Amino acid sequence: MSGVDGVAASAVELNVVEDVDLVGEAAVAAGGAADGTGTGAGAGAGAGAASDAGPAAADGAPAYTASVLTTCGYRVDDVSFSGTELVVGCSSLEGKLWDGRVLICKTTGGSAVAAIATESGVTSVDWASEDNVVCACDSGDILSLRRSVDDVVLKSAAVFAEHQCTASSVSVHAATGRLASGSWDATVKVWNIGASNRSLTTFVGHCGRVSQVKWNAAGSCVASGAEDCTVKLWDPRADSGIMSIAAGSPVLSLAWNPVCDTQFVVGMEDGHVAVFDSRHRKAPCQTVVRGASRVPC
Amino acid sequence: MQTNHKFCVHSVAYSPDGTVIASGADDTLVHVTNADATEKCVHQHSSCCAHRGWFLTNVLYNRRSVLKGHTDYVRALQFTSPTTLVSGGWDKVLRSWTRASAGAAATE
Repeated sequence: MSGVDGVAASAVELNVVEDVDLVGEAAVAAGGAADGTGTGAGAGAGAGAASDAGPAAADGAPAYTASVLTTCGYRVDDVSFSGTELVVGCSSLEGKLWDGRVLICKTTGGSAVAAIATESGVTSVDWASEDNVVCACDSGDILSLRRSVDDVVLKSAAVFAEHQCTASSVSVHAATGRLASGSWDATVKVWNIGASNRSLTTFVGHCGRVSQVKWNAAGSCVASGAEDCTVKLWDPRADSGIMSIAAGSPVLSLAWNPVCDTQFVVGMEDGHVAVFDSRHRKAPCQTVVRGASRVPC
Repeated sequence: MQTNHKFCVHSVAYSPDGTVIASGADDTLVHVTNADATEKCVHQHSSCCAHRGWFLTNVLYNRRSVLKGHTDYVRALQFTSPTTLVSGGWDKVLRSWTRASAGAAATE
């Protein structure tokens, strides 16, 4: 099935751009009119929180100042940065229609410069090139979205539809054009974005929902974190797993160290954040944020 | 004062220079920590597997910045520069956090 209804989407796209281009306090009034009470309440709370957020530093920790970039109208599930622009994947998750949106925004905030409405919620987004983004959907489809230079709408260029269940994460290695995807069907798939909508490789090994996949900077390895409490590293050339690392709690998020291709940080269900190093498989990792107790969510 | 994540950590991010780690959780908070502040601590946590046996010292906890502002789950984090972090969550708001300059931080 297609993740985007081509005809309906083009009609909605223009609405998205009008309705979602809301920043700060302007969103309070206009947001409520655009998307019902949900947006208005969210924007109001956001603007208030930002103004009194203030420095949260204590004992020498750096202070951060907050600002509201934009109000999306939908629940934000993922953000990715191209170097100049942000792409935002969001889902409705309200009412009977769980649709989604993909927006492209400037880092200075303000209007969404391009947008598309999707049939199902968007769980993950990543940049493939300056005019090409990839998103994963609740339906299991992975969409490749293109925009023309002078256009404010994104158009679905390709659909990768092999996952049997919600596609939870996508990661693109731009230099090689390879796309990795993870799904609740417990598989990790690798695709060639430009060539074919059939997967090159399917990695089977997880026994729980895959929550996040990420290429390392060199593109030589895909890391996948899953709710089976493991992080697995895969070699796309060898079509096989390199190693499996026990994290101790369901893994919900993962990020490679951009300057060290053997280290990655993992966020877990019990509140722990830990750094792993693939060179030291048996050695203890470092836990940087320790959860106090296990609280079910 | 320890302020750890007590809920699912659905988003983590490294800064582009690899020196800072940010984590966002369902407790609506974003924590920002120096990556080099992840010293191994001697406390062994017996109920966890070997990988989980090493934790930070309290001194290092104190160097963590806690960013408050989101009103619902934090699900997306992305650094746009070594000192700027963008976060998004189920409160539908995309926020930007900018680290104060070294001089400003030193005076606090």
